[in-house]
Amino acid sequence: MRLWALIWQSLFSRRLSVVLTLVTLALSVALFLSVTRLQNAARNSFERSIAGVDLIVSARASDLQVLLYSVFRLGDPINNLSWESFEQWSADPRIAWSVPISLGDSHRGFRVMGTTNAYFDHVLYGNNQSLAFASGKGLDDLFDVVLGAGVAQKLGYGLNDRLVVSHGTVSTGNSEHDDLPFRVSGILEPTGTSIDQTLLVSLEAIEAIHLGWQTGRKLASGNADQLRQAELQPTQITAAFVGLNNRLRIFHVQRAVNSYDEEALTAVVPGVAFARLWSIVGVAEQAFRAIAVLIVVLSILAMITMILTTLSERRREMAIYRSLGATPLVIAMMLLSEALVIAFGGCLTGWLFVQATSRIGASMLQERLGLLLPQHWLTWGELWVLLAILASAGAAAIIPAALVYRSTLADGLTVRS
Amino acid sequence: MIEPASAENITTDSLAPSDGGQDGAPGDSSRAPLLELTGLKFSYGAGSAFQLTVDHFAVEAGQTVLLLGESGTGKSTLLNLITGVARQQAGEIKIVGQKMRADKPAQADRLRGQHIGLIYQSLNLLPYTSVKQAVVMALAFSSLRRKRIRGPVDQEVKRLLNLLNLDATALFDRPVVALSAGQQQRVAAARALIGRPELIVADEPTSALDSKNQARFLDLVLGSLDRSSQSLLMVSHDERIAPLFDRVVRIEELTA
Ligand SMILES: Nc1ncnc2c1ncn2[C@@H]1O[C@H](COP(=O)(O)OP(=O)(O)OP(=O)(O)O)[C@@H](O)[C@H]1O
Ligand SMILES: [Mg+2]
Repeated sequence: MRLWALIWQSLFSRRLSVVLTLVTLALSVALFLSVTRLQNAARNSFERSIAGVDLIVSARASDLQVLLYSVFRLGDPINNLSWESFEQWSADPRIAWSVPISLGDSHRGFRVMGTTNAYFDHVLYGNNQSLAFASGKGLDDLFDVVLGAGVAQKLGYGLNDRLVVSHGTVSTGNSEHDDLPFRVSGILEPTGTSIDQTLLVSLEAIEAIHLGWQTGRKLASGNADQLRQAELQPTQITAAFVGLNNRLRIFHVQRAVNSYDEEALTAVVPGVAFARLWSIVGVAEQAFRAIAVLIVVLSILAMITMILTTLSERRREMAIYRSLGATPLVIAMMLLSEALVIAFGGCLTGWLFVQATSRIGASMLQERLGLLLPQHWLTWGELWVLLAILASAGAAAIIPAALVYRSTLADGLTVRS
Repeated sequence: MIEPASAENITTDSLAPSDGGQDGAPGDSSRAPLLELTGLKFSYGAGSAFQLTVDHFAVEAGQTVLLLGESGTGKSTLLNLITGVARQQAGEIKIVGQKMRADKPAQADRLRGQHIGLIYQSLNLLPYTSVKQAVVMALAFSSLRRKRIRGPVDQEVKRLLNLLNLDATALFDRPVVALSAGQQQRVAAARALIGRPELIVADEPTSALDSKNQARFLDLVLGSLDRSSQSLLMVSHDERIAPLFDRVVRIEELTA
C-alpha cells in the first residue's frame, strides 16, 4: 500500500465528480488548443500565400482590397489595370520582372486566373518555395489549363482531361460554354495556399472566353482553331506581381507607381498589407484567445470548487490518515497530487481529443478553406500552456491543501462522521 | 514489501537514544518502559476548567493496561496527549525512548505512525475501502511497520483477520460497509495491529457493540497481540472487563 494507491482509492470513490471535473478541464484544454491551432494555421497559410513579390500593382484601391483579391482571390476588383500601364511599368529599369494576373472567371466554384508562365518562375509561396508541378507542365497552348492541387483532387481531374471555363465567378449551368474545352496541361503540388483552389490559364485564354461570351453565340469546336489565330491581346488585367532589381527601393518605386499620371494606380507592399490585415484580424484573434483562456481558468476554478466542497465530507478521511501517521505535509501533498492528477488527466484527454479531431478535420479544412492544419504532436508553445495549466492547478490546490493542513491540526484525531 | 529506509524512517529512528531499545529485548533489566509520562500538565485553555495532571505513568513492553474512569474525567484527553495530538503545558511523554512532541506536529505524526496503532470508538474505517484496503492503509504512512512484515502483505492481512475471527477469504475484498459493526471494529483492530506497532491505543473500542460482542472483541484483540513486543492501553468505564488485563489503572489514581 502506497500513498498513490490511497489517492487513487479516494479519487475512485468520488469518481463521478472527478470525471466531470476532468471532462470540463479536457474540453476547455481542447478548445484552447483548437483555437490556437486554427489561428496559427490561418495566419500561417495567409502569410505563406505569397513570397518573393516586392509589389502588387493594381488600379486604385485600398491595400487590403488589393491583397484580398490578388492574393486570396477574395472579392472582386473594382477597376482593372490597363495593359498599356502594365507594359509601361514593366519596362521600368527598376523593375526586374512582372507577372500579370487576370481574375473574374470560374470553373465549378473554383477561381480561374489568367496569367503567364512567368508566374511559375517568379511568384513563390511559403519559405520562398517555387510552385512545383506534380505532373505535366505550364501553359503552352491557348487552351491549356494548370490546376491547383485542391482543384484536381476535388474535381477528380487528371492530366489531359478536358474541362470548361465559364465567365463570371458564379458557376451556373447556362453560362457554361461547352464548346471551349480546355485541356489540363499540368497539375501543381499542394501548397496550402489559395493557389491550390485556383485554375491557371493564359491571359489570352481569358480574352478568348470573353470574346466567345461577348459575341453571344455558340462557337463550334472548330472555332477553337480560329480563336488561336485571332488577336487575343488583353486590354486590361486585374493586377501585376512585381519584383524589383533593388529591394531597398521598394518604397521609392511604390511612391512612383502611386503618383503615376496616366492612370490611378496602387502599389502594395505585401508585408505591409499583411501587417495591416493582422492588426484588424488580430483583435478578433485576441478576443477568441482571451475567451479560451477564460474557459481554462473557469475549469481550474471548477476543479478547486470540487476539491473544496468534498473537503468537509473528507474530514474523516484526513483524521484517519493522520491517526495512521500522515503528517499535515503528506496530506497536503496528497491533495496537491490529486489536483495534479485531475489536471494532467484533463490536459491529456483534451490534447488527445484535439489530436484525434484534427486528423479528421484537417482534410475538411484543406478542402473547404484551403487551410493547411499543421499535423504536429505538441509545439513548445502548447507545451508551455499545458504546463502552465498544471502549475496553476497545483498552485490552486495549495488553498484546499492549506485549509486541510490547518483543519487536521485543529481537529486532532477526533473522527467525525 | 521490503524496501530501503525512506527519509521519514531515518529521521525518527535515528532520533532514538541508545538507551531506548526499539527491539525491546525481554530480559534487558536496564530497559526503559515502552511509554512513560512524567510531570504532565494539561488544560484546554482559558475557557475550560478541566485540568489534567499526571506525575508519573508508565507502560511496560508487552503489558496490557486498562484505564478506567467516569465520563468526562479526561481519559480521551490523556490518550490524545500520549498519541501526540493534544499538546501538554508541561511535562514529558516518551514512547520507545523518543519524546512525543505535539508542538512539532509532523514529528509527532511520524512517531505515532511508526509505533502506535489506534482504535477509536467508531468511524474507524473509510466507507469506500475494502477490508484489505482498510487494513493495509496503516502501512502507507509507516515505513517501519511496512518493513516489519515478513512475506507477502496479503498473507499477513489474512493472518490478522483470521486471528480476529474474521473469515479472511470471504471478506478480503468486501467493502467495509458490508460488515457488521462488530466486524468493522475487528477490521480496525487488524489495521492497528498490522506491522506490529509497539503500542496499541484503544479508546472505548467496544462501546458501540452489544455486550456479547464486547467480550468477544476484547478476547480476540488480546489474543492477537504479540505479547513479547506489543502493549495495549485501553480506555473504558466498564469495570467488568478488568480481569482480562495485566494491569488496571484508574484515572483518579493517576491524576491524584
Ligand atoms: N476540545 C475540548 N475543549 C475544551 N474542553 C474539552 C475538549 N475536549 C474535552 N474537553 C473537556 O475535558 C474533559 C475531559 O474530556 P475527555 O473527553 O477527555 O473525557 P473522557 O474521560 O474521555 O470522557 P468519556 O468517557 O465521556 O469519553 C471534559 O470535561 C470535557 O468537557
Ligand atoms: Mg472519551
